[in-house]
Amino acid sequence: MKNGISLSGLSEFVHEVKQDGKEAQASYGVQLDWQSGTRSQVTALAMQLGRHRLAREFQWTIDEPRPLLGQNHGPNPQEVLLSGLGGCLLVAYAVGASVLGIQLEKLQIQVRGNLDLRGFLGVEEQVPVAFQEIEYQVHLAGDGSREQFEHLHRQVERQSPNRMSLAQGVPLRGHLTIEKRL
Amino acid sequence: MKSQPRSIHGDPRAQTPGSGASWCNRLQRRRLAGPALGENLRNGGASTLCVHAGTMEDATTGAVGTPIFQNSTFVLGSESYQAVEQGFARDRFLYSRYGNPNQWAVQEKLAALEGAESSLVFSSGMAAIAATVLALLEPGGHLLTSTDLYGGSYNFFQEELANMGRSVSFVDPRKLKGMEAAIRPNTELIFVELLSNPLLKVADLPALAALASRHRLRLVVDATFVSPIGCRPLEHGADLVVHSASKYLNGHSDLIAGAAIGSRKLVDRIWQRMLVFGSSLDPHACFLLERGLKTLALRMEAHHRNAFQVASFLQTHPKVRRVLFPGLESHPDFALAKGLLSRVGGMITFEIDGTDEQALALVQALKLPTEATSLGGVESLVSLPFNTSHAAFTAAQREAMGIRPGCVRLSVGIEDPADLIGDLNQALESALASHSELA
Repeated sequence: MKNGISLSGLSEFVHEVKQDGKEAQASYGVQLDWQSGTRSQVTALAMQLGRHRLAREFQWTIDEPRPLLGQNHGPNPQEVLLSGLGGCLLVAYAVGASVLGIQLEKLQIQVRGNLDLRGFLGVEEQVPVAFQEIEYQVHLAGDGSREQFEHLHRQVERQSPNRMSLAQGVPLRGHLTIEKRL
Repeated sequence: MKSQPRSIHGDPRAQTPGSGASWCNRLQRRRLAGPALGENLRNGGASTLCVHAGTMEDATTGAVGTPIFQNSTFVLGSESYQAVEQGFARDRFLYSRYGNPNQWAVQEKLAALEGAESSLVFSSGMAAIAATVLALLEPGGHLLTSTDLYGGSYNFFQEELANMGRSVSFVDPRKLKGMEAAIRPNTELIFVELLSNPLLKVADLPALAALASRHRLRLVVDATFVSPIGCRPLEHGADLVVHSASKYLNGHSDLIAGAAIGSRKLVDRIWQRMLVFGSSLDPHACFLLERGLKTLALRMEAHHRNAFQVASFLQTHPKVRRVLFPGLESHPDFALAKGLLSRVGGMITFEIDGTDEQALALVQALKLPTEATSLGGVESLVSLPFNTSHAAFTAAQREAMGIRPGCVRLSVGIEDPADLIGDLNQALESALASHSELA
């Protein structure tokens, strides 16, 4: 299979969801449990794909580095956010290259973002809390033409869900439950 | 279906996805039923499908019936390489572990009989169950299954799944509230036997399918004891049917095979597991299974008729404490069986008025039914759950399931029922008489 992706399986899925949009509905979730200090244990929750559940057996740790008062047991929340963007872009490049018929030899993405922590700390009202900018650099090599790679790059900009979520913003609602003390 | 000499070795309808499209929405390949060597017979009565569906007639020789393709590998061409590169290897003949005309022929017959898009044959029933469950249950996933289960399936679920990162709960599938309470956030799959082994409890498929759908689970039904002649579980909401084809499907106690049958989407996922586990069925065994299946409808009719007569006889015998045959009104699930099963099949479980040792004496005194495990052959087979299918359970576990001492499992063959009844009568007299002498 080219690039390790079954183009036939992809094509069949495309036609399935053209017929039945319900099969394209995907719900995701993660749960974070505070462990100590800035450290959390993340557990992926069961997904729903179409009409069925999909168990997810994945856990990871998020922490802050020591200079930011953590114990450095795992990547920090910013790195996890950037990797969520990069991972989604990578899927789109790999899938898109396979659709175009390109055999990839290299696909590398670097994602960088800058924060001014004065925003989080609230010490300077003019400083934005959010990332000022997120930038990514994609390195592609393979048997595609320059035009094909540029087409792929444009398509990924339009089709990557995580990219689009960050670029456009999505409604975000937080709810609070105050539980009884243990 | 007639085949013509062709450069494509495989399903002529299979489309390429269309490499070189500008994005995913431009891809062309749709999922089709099969794979098959042409349009297959899907409509007709059960006997017609048994005889004709899936048969691959060879245009070159004019041979009647599917020839045996006892080859491990196939000539490769650009078509074959393209199929591998673009991910539709299941539609082409490349290597007999991937697919072979004899596998396809028998798979198409099974799919037609179950009213399904696709099917896969395996080197055993357990291979079919293992590949199916592992394909549909992700690591971290939870399986909901029955307390009343074939010992081989129980061993796989109880002893092996945990090592593969999956968990399992055993519940009574007839207690829907308990079943629902056992569903966890990571539950993905319900697995039940349509007729349970050995107590022949009937699974309420429509109720289970509704439960599965409400909780976004998939329902897999092991219909080994019934065969598609008795019930087509997909029509009652099951997602997949699995069989030990060594039993009724083949019917002659001369091969070991299994099958998984359902939508092309799910069977393709199972095929990927079968490939890596290497549990494909040898072409010669496929030929035997295809030949056996031609008489499935006839045999099931005979099994059912005989079993009804034998069960009716046993029910009136003073030395028989209890007879379990869902075709008799005395069976607790008679009403459910009547609604769900057009033929109950040939399995009877009965308890003699005695011990497991006396049951063993009875089995040994029988002249026609062979003392052997397995079932579904033309010859009657008799065995005791305590030392065969349910030997993995403790006596207390068996009692809790409802398998009491003196329990006998009889697979009624297609012999003359009067001969079977006469033989059972003499064996009951001799086995239970000798006990009273000893006492």
